Amino acid sequence: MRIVTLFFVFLSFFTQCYNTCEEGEDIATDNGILTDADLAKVPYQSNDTVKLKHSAGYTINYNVTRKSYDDYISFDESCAGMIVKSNSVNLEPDYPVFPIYINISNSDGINTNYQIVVGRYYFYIPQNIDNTVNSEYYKFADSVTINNKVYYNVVKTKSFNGTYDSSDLIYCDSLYYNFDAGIIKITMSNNEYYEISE
Amino acid sequence: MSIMKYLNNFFLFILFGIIVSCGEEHSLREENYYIDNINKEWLIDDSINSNFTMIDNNGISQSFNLQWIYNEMSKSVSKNFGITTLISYREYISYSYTSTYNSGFSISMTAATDNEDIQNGDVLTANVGNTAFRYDFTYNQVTDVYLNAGAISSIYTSEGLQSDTEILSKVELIDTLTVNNFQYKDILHFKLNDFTDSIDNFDITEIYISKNIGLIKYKYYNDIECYRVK
Repeated sequence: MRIVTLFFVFLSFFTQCYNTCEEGEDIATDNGILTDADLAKVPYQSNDTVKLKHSAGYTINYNVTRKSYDDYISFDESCAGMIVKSNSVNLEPDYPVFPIYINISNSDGINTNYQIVVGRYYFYIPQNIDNTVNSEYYKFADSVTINNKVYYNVVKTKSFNGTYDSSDLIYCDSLYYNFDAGIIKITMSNNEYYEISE
Repeated sequence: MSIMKYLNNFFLFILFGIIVSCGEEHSLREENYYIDNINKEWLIDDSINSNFTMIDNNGISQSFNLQWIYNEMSKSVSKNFGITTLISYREYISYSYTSTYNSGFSISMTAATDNEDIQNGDVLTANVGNTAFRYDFTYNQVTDVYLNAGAISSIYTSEGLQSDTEILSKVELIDTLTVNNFQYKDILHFKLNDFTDSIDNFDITEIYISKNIGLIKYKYYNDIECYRVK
């Protein structure tokens, strides 16, 4: 009898220890879809070539690949989690400078988040670019002129401190973006820059 | 009976050896190996968070930031029949940089050893981007080459350095080199001659390192060159 009791105590302990959830199991909140309007705010498609011209004159060609996928994010060990729709855009350069990665997701369930990673420097684009955008990291501009072309409704974002080692002498300082053209300009801390070349 | 006695003695000897070796904490012999002071000059006289700048032949600049310095006695253990016969401590010094465009640069040196069978000299290891090499100062030979396409390594034997595939990459020591209008002295020049069929445009094929200073120049397969800015 004692052995049977011990067996069940052991079994109970064992099952408690290994009560884990598989991906997608039990309580998963679906955060909904990324709408076409959300996706259109990143105007790059697979096989596009994006040209960025360095301030010293050299033009770098970025080859675009884009895909959608689902991420499952679990909160804790209680099987609660959520399904996050993501869309990733990779810009691969034909020159040994930084690659650019853009991620669109609805990870907080309320807003659509736009994250741009330039090499190892991180930027976040607001989901609306208008004159309400103004903070330590965001500055709104009605228009920006580059190579005699005017780009309207532009946000200038600062790279987030803490996402790279701030002791870098030359780092990626700011990024200019609008929803029609995408990345318009990237400025470096030593005043070199990359501009859209069409 | 004598066989049994022999076996008993043998196992007693092994047991004694295991006891005296006490795992890996004690051994029958301990050795410390230090890097030759002359070879140490190839390392960098710099401190954490120091920066240097490089510019390429299209005018694109990047900085390299010194992130880590390791200086330690690296332990290795030799065993025979489970008995720790030798614990050796080799001096190891390493400097690692990150860069604006993630090229990265690291340089390290490991002290020579002088075991009974196998001898190797002070070894310098350096990498820029995905290209890495090792160079033995005693043999004056490149002992290892690493690239995205693969790796070639030599092993030390009692008959010297041996590898399945002959290593064609070379290191030459140059007295002076002018880079970006500045003349550097005592240069180590690595030239990649391996993986010629599988090399990529963004593989680095030449690396120049100056004594006490570090990286002063490197070159990609597609002829982009990066120069240190003094």
